[in-house]
Amino acid sequence: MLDKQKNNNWFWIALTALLISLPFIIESFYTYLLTTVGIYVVIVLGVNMLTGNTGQITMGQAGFYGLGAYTAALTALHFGVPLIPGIILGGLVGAGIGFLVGVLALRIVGAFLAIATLGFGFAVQSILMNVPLFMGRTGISISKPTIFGIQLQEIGYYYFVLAVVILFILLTVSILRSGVGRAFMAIKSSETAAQAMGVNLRLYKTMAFTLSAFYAGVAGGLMAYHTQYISAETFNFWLSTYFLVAAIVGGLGSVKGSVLGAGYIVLVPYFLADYQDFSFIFLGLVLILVVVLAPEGMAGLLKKLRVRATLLLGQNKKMTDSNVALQSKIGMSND
Amino acid sequence: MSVRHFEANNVAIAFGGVQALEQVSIYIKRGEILGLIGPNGAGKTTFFNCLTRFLEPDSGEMFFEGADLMKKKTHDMASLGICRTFQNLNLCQNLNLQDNILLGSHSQIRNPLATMLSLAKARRRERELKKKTREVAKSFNLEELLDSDIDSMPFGSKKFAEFARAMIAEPRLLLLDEPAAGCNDEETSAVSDMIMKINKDFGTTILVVEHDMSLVMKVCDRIYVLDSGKLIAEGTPEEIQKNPRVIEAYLGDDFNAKNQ
Repeated sequence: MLDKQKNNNWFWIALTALLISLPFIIESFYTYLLTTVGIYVVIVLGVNMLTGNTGQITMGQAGFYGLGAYTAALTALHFGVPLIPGIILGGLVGAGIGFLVGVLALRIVGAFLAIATLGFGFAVQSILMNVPLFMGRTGISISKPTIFGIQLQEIGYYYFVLAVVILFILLTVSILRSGVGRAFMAIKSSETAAQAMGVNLRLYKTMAFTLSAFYAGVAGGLMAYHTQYISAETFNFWLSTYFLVAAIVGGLGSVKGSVLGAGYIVLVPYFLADYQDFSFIFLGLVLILVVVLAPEGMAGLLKKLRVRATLLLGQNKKMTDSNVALQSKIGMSND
Repeated sequence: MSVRHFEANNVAIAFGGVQALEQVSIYIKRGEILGLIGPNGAGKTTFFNCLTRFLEPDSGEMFFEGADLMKKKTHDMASLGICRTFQNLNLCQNLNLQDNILLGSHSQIRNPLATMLSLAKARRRERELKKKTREVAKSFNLEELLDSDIDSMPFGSKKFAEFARAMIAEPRLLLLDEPAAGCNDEETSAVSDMIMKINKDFGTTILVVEHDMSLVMKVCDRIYVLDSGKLIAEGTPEEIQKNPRVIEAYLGDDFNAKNQ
């Protein structure tokens, strides 16, 4: 258990160090792209907590994301609200609507919940398209983000998003390790058992919805400042699907999986952009392969790799019980 | 306070045209182990589900330590001091054993927001609960398995894990739904011993709904017999074994053959 913990910490420390130094090494465009990944990490963390941990599927996350983006953009445009309060407001608006959707969705489960949240996504987009306030396809342009009166340039914004991502990863880990996270996971596994242990299903399901919508709203606000232009066309059904695919391919129920999945869903379409439709075929094939062959996603594969590496390095004796169990699960012998 | 720790009066419920429970009245004395037995379809599980509020009876009333259970919801039971185990193990596969047992202490969460944010007080409570989890695991011989996945645990340990999850909340009434289901003779005997140990060590009042006669006769102080939704007998194990109505209606030849 301790070894496992140490390994995990090294993963996060190495990743953070790499991300802090990257802007000095890579071209500015890639810094922009990595900022996008960071924003996706925030939203996928929320999707994963709701779907991967609590077992409530969401196919309308682009709706909360859009609400957050428009809240930040409109408050900046009309009232000159700066970056930080803007994205907090975006998160709160997302959370408020998420709470209502969560309450309405209480009686719906499984595929029906997927359809209902899908409908929510469509409804939000059609409101953004048609209500004059949101300027529909024309979109809204906003100026560069400012913190305490200082305007952030591309690299500055990259670090700001990195800080927000780290904050949300810590928040997610804290939630999932607490009694609340246990209740979420119990709901996914067995609603009956969860109830018998005192988990108020209505309260906790609504909480999971509200939290994931808060994440999405904050991510939306971040994105509005990132692209400095938003239009209703962005917040479509495909975007919601992408978020869900990121959670599944990255690893359902895993924080590391959310990070990997967000990177996957931004970087793969970018690097395959020259091949047009092939990008979709690739994403689709990978999704099928993951669901069938590696249901624990990229995070699960990493875990297996680590066990194999540990074995190859001849540290068999140091293996903990959980590693032995894992090892037997993936069908490897000890000799 | 009366000796009646729990009482149910005239509980009735029908599913479509079938009267699953007809005016069932039982009481449980503080500190006793009470058995509720009956053949398949007698209404044992239905009664159990009414008590744990998974089902809403058509009529009747139920009280625990003076609290009106009809006004409570399923998730209120644990904080009232009523915990249960499941007939077909219902542990959470996506949590390891330690987290499964900790889940049993869910009703101690007062402020979900502080808990989520792991504020100092919540962290302290979590540490205390983990310590308590180890103690509880120890008394059920599970301490070696705390970090294990549920999948990798042997069947007997899973049974005890259900007990541990219920007991960490320190219930005053423990409800056991067919605790010997799926057990071989050896495991049944271990479960019986554990039930008596819990009753003796913690003074927990226990209701056992059970099929397995050897277990019920061994552990129960008093037994009710249900048949087709009606109570047909009440008494000590000796009285129940001798009761001609019970033998005829339920125990039959099978039981006599088994116990002689």
